[in-house]
Amino acid sequence: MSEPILEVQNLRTYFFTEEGVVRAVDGVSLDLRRGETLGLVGESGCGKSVTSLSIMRLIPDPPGKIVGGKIIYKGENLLEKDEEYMRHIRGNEIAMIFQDPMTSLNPVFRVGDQIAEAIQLHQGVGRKEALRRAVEMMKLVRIPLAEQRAREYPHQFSGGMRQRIMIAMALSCNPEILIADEPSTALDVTIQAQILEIMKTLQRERGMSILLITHDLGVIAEMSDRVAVMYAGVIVEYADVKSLFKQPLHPYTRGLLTSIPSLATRSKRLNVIEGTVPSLIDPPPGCRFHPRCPRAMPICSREKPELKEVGENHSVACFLY
Amino acid sequence: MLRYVIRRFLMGIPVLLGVSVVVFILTQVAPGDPIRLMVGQAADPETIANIREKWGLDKDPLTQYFIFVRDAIKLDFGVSFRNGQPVLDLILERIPATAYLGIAAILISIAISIPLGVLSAVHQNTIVDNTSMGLAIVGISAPVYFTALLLQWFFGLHLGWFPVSGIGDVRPWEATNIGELVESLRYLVLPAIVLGYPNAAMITRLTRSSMLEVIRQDYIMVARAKGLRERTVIYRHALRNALIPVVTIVGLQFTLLVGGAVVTETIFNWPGMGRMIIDALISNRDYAMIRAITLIIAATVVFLNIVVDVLYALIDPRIQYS
Amino acid sequence: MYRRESLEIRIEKARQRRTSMFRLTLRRMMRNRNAVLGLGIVTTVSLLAIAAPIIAPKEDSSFQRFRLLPSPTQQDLSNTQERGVIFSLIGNTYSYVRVLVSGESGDVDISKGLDSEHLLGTDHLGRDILSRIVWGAQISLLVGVVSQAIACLIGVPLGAISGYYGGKIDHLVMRLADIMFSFPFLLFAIVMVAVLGDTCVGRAWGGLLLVFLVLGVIGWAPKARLVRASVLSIKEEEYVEAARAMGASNTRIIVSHILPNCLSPIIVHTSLAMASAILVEAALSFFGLGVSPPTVTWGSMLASARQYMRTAPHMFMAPGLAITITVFGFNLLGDGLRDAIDPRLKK
Repeated sequence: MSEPILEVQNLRTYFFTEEGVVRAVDGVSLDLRRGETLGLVGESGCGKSVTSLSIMRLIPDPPGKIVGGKIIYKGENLLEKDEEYMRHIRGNEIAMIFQDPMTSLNPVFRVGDQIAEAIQLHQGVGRKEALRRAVEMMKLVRIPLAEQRAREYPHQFSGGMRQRIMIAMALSCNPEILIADEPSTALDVTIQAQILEIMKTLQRERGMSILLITHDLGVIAEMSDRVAVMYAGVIVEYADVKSLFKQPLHPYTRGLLTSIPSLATRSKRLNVIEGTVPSLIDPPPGCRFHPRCPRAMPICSREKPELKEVGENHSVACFLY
Repeated sequence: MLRYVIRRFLMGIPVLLGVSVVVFILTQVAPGDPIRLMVGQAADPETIANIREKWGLDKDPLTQYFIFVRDAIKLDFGVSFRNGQPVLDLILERIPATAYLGIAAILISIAISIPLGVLSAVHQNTIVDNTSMGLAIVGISAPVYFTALLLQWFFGLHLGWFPVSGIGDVRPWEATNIGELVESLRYLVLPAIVLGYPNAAMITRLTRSSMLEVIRQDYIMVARAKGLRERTVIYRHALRNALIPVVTIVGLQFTLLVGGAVVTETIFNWPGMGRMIIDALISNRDYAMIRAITLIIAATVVFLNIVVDVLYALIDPRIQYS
Repeated sequence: MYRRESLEIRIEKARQRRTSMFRLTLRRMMRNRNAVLGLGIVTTVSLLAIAAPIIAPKEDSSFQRFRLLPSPTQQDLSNTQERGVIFSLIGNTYSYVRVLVSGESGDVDISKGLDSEHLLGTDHLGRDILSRIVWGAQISLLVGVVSQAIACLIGVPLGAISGYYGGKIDHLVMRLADIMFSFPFLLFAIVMVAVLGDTCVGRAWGGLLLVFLVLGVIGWAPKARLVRASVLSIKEEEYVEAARAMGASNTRIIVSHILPNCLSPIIVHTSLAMASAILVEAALSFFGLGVSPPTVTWGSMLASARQYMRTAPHMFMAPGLAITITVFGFNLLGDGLRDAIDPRLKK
């Protein structure tokens, strides 16, 4: 737990479409420290995935474009580097797992080959050696009969197994940072636990940092050291996990936490956050949450609140503070 | 898998029978007496009756049909009404020319259309894409006989680069030196291009739309996230998947090719099977020939479709015919 | 009482969904450049074809055995001068492109190159090509429309019944369809028309009836397959069950609930199939089959132009381009419709 290995400063990623400019990420700053897990939480469509794709510079252009900000990795601004540099980074130093394991593997190639491909590319070894290492990785993520199964195709594996293969693929070159975009969302609850367990173990063993993106607060609670809450393209709260759950400051975070039904408080109706997620083409002026905020003040519709540190390791972007 | 293939073969038999029935009925129902056509109006009734008997044309239709089928299984298609030679021999004589033309046409079209389709997909909505799509739609719109005439006129007569008629004196596989080989190939160029154009157009369009869908898939993004070159992502990861549906229309390509070959061979005076069937149909009423060729074509189509299905299973590991 | 209402409402909602989808598709189609262009071409050609007797004054319609509209009177003929304007525009661009023509006429044909009187030149018998093209359009379009109508009339009900009832009927129909598919369309048409050409059916309407029937009968299989696939997928949907629960008869279910939803792939396919029907008809007349002279068709124009290729290339250019452009229009239209119905693939 020390100095940051990845720093995102004021990142802005827009999509230029026929219907208008979608401001998917509009001034996001966060930092990821060595060996820690940073959770990025928010509803679908709030820009979490776009943030992670921006870090990897995998935003499809057209129609997307990173229009501003800096992404500092090990002291270098990734946004200023050329494609060859980025290719060296991807899979090698920063790796990513995607949400849907059913569609993330190429159906016509063998599983072992797909893992070995990254190894061959980044570690400069021959095919045989790469395959051997791939099987090692499969064993590491606890896929039974790894040697045999490496020769099989993705459709012969279940969802949970495929996600493990994804993890094996991502970690095969021992990256410094793992970006996990909803790694367990598409899986059954029991399998979810297994996957998260594997991730945690590997992280501990390798001293890897994880950027965990999810909308599931339970996962956040279990896995993260610190949390960033995102809404409509901006970060609204930023704290370590204990403080966030004990003392949520931003009305949105409060809404999220109280909307989790619990057996302890038996109420007749579920708590909801009123309203719907705003359009990212035409976001509300001022604070983006103000139309739905139960504690909105006049200033909220006029000016945008900045992230301000209000406690130890706890920042919030809200005029209430 | 083997069981699947056998089952498909068995399913093909009723189809072939069906075709044979249809063709037989057609030729029975058709007016005009082929014998009379052949020997002329002046022949006396006795000669005609003799010939009729010799070829079994005096029996009732049902018997004729059974004889036809029975012989067909033994690959005996009777003799040509026109010149009395065995139909099978005549066909075998002409097949090489048609096969030669057909294979050349397919090779040319694949060589052009797949790269073009990939390029169009990767650079969607740019000039390359729009031009090739425009050319492709023209390709499936322009009738074969028009493109044939057009190319004949322009490259053949006007520019004089290529011959417009026939297959040349020497076939390429009979050539004794480079000069003869080149000369022989010159005859191939125009007909092959004309024949292959509509096929190329279809393949280009399909490759493009298939690539567009594949590129959108998650696993392509994953491949990029692994740090692979864009070129590897496209030509290794994407193309392999995109070509799968292309393989399945190979059967359709063949039927297009046969239809096109008929016209192309007629216009370019190419001595192949296509022209033979046209002659048999239009000039001679050579029913034995017509039946034989029809059956052979149908059999080939059925066979090819089975091959395509098997190929499909081999290429796409998700398909299992067990 | 309550339950009954909700079923009715569900069916009504499904119907509304359909109409709004229709409108949405229409709007999407209008935005698709290709579809609009295709529609434009098809409409233009159709208008030309319908108006043939009026705008093709050089030929009286006596050679046309099968006429759509009565031939022009003397009065009409004298009013035709103004109409030349549109065509001279086309003709001028055409002649610019056609500068390559070395228009010497041999002594065998009396065809003339392009001039102001005959915008597309004349053929070897001195007949004005432009007029013949316009007349030929009638045949091509007629064949396209009528043969496809026949194909739909046969194929759609067969496919619907096959898909809905399944079982032995389904098997039988699919076997029949397989037979149709196992043979190249063009060849099948050629064989049938050649063999049946001399029968009384073959001679009716100058050969046109046979062409209609043959193309229609050969074309039912793809439609049947399409309809069957749609029926199979819709059969399981809720509103069908709802309708059945309300006591609707099988026929009624098929006709008013299932079929309207199969419309879109059928329309797309028909547009594209019309294109190939026109191509096949032209091929038939190119070989001298099908529609017989003196009726003008584009195919026969091409056939007779063949010998004069060297000396009078404009003779084959005109009908060839006419066929290409018309078919191109139908293909564009079909493509555009397909894109409009399934917009996923565009972006």
